[in-house]
Amino acid sequence: MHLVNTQSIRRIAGLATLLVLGFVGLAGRLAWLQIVEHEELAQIVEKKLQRNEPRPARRGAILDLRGTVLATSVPAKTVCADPSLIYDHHELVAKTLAPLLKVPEPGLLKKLLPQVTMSTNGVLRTNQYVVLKRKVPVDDWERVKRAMVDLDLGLEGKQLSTSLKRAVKTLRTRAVFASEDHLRQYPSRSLAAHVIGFTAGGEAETDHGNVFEDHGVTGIELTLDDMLSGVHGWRKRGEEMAPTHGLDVVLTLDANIQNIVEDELARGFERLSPQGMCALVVRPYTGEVLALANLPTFDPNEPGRAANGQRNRATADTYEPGSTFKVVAIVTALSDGRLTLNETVFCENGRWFYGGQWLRDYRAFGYLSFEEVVSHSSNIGTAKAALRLGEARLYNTITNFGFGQITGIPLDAQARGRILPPKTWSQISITRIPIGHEISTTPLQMAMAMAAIANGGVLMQPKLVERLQDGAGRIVRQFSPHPLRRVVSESACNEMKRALRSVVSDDGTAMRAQLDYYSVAGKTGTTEKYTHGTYKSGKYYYASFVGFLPVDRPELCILVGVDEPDKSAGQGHTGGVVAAPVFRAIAERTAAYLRIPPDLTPETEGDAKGELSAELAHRRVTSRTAHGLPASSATR
Amino acid sequence: MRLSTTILVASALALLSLGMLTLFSISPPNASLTYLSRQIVAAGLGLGGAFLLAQIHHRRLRAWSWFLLLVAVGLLVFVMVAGVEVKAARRWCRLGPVQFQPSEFAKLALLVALAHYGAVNERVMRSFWYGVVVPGMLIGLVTGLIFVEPDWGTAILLGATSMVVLVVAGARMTHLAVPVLFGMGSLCAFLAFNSVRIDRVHAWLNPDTTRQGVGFQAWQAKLALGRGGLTGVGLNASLQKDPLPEEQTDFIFAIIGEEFGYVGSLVVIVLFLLYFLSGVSIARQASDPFGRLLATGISFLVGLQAFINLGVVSSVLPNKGLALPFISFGGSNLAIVLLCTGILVSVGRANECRVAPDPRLEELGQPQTA
Repeated sequence: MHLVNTQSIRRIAGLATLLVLGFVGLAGRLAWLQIVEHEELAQIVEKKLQRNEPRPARRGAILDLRGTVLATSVPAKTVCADPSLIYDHHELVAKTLAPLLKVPEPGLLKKLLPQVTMSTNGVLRTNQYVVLKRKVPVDDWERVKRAMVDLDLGLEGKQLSTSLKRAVKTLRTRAVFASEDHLRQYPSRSLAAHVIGFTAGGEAETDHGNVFEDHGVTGIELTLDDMLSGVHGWRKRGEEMAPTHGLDVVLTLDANIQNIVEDELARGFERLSPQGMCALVVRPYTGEVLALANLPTFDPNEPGRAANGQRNRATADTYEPGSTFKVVAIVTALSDGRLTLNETVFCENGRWFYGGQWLRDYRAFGYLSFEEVVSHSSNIGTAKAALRLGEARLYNTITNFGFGQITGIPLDAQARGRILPPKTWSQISITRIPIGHEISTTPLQMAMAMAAIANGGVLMQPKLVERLQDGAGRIVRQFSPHPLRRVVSESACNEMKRALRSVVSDDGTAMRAQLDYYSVAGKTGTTEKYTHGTYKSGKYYYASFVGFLPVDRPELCILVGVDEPDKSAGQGHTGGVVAAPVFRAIAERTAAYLRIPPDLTPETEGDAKGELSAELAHRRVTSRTAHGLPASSATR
Repeated sequence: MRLSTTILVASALALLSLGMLTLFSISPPNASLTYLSRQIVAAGLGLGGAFLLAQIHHRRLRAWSWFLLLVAVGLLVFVMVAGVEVKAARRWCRLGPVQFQPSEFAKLALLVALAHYGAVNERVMRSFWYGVVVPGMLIGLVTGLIFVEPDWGTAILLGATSMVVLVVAGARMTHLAVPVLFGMGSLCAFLAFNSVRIDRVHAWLNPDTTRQGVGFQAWQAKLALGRGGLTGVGLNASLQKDPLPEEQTDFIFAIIGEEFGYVGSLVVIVLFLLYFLSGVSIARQASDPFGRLLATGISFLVGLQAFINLGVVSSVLPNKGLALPFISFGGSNLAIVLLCTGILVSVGRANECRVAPDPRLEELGQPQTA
């Protein structure tokens, strides 16, 4: 008995020692994990917790000069799902969410089905993240959330185990989730589409997780992308950093003028059915672009719908400017004292053999004063004026006027145009370039050159952005008008204005550009396009008119270009016939909108009533200016 | 002897309190009683039962030993047929509103029966037949039934504890090698055909490549322990309770390690050691073989279970699914371990009352009690 007893007691002690040693070993193991590996393991947990939520910055708005919103970002949600939490309820979830998200059900179901992949070490994994739809309005997301909570799983009244209850709760609240996003909207649809441009969304990686960002593809959205974008914030446990929202861009555009221009272009487009049209409204003194429009156009909300409408013809298309370009040579000759407007020049009765080729006028002119050369648009007279300048001076003045260079307008789609240096010129180039051949320009370059003459000879950089401001309207940066250089003398410009005014008269080429209450100066242009290897198709023309008003104190410089007006429509094809009426309509409405003081009393053929109404209109405007209220920028 | 029972009860109550505190900590912020309510009921029942058991002489259990074993086997068979299935295992019995795990009851019943058998056959334990084959069949029946539930963890634990009881009862080591080898062999065979368990072993051997899959739980537990450091992140400050599955039952020690650090882990280990050693001390000084074997069985049951659980949580052992005595959430386990503690106290108290042991008296008494 005693033997058995001591033996069993010894055995108890031996086994107990083993287990005690086991516990000591555990204490050592825990010391290793909790003290030696503490830093490393704790850091892994920290890092995992830092995988925090980014707070996307809102993209700035694009506004017109008066604060009309042209582009804005509204909060939206990206709706995502974790397929591994949906268990076998994919079909129910797809059926419930498809109408709410406005997506087809089969596609949604496919996304919700878990994808099982095998990792390199042979472990099966299901995907836990799919994007169901991007840019979902916040209201729709709220509806999705409610629908998930109210999901009818057919479990009502059944007793559920704790784990099943937990699973159901996870399915209802966590299987479908959303991340912050923004939706870019263009409330005025296609208005000023070519200036604003459009954006494309994408997922960008940041230190704090992925963010959905909109970035500009073209237009101001692209060129001022950095200003509009802002800086993302983030949120993690206990800490957060508010996002710095993007800056609002205030354009020099006036939505109302833009609207007038687009309206009149549309009307002209219907009448002329051309390939395309463009129009620009610029303030000569400041270079501010008040409107820039092209047809065909597009809706930046759905840029893919009209891919051929995305071309910004006003800045990206080049054309041979034709007669509108004549002002460059003549005003330079005036400025250099090479001629006076009253001086006469022999226009060779319409045919002039020079440099081995014939140069023709559209009508046989004899002796013309240079003023008449301008108003009748004589090629021969203009060529002779250019000959007085010489090749070097002609080239020099053309580049001074900004041709062949980027204008500096903050838009991505810009062409330089083409002006070759004199050493590559042929013998007749000096007679062809001044009449707007052998040279290509963009409509914007032509408008800015004309605006320089209206501005007394100083070329302005086109200004499209008025200022940058933050969301609260505080000005961050104000842009001032930027004069580039003096091109010609002021007196020469004043002379030139007189000549250009005679163009817009009953016996000039642009009688249809005349306005009742304002004096108008301008120049028509009609060129045959170089298509199918020839200039002589007789079908493809570029017709334009560029002019400014009022002549003595120009407030507006307006260009209208018509690309390939349809001659068969019976509406003619010359700038004076095709483009001038559009100019007139735009000028009349814009001047009235801006309340520019009229400088004319209309000739009313003795109609007392008309005279009276004109007088009243005049008085109304002058009295307003007399009260110190600036009529637009007349006081500048 | 008084010292042993005092330390035993003190360490048991300390572990129980620590468990309650941790369960409070891992409950959701607005539902602090999520786990506590049921745990408190089980603790109350267990403590009441333990108190009663401590009052009566442990010898009175001997009369009930075969009956208890019969009930246990009956319940195990019942649970196999009509048990509540949770996660592909039938471990639960439902009687009206009460659910319990028969395997927990079977642990106690088997230990009581083995102790009784060992005491009766004390003199013939050295024979292969009485020392190994007969008790081995009893053990095999009970652990086998638990094994097919399946509850491998409990089966292995109970098998190991039973071996300890047989060793202490006097069976020959060489004889015992046979069932041990047989048990391990069949375990390996089952393992080979069971993908879930083989995955767990694979995960245990390759913790780095399986941390997103099978080894996820072990990895999260490791992170929790590591994050705790020396002094822990503080009560209620655990972050790993969210990613860690079964944080309230099998892996609760990871949360203790996270919130109270290595200091907390050591406290738990020391408390279990105190409990175990005072149990062993009670066994060594037991007045009768039944008491000695019963106390040994219970001490090793609790000690081994704690050891395996801590080993699993600290990635030393493969994942088995055993609760941590006194601490893990789970009514049956808590109630049974408290009842076991009551029996240990009863054995200890019987030692105290022993007055001048007379070997002859004992010898005379033997046939009567047998």
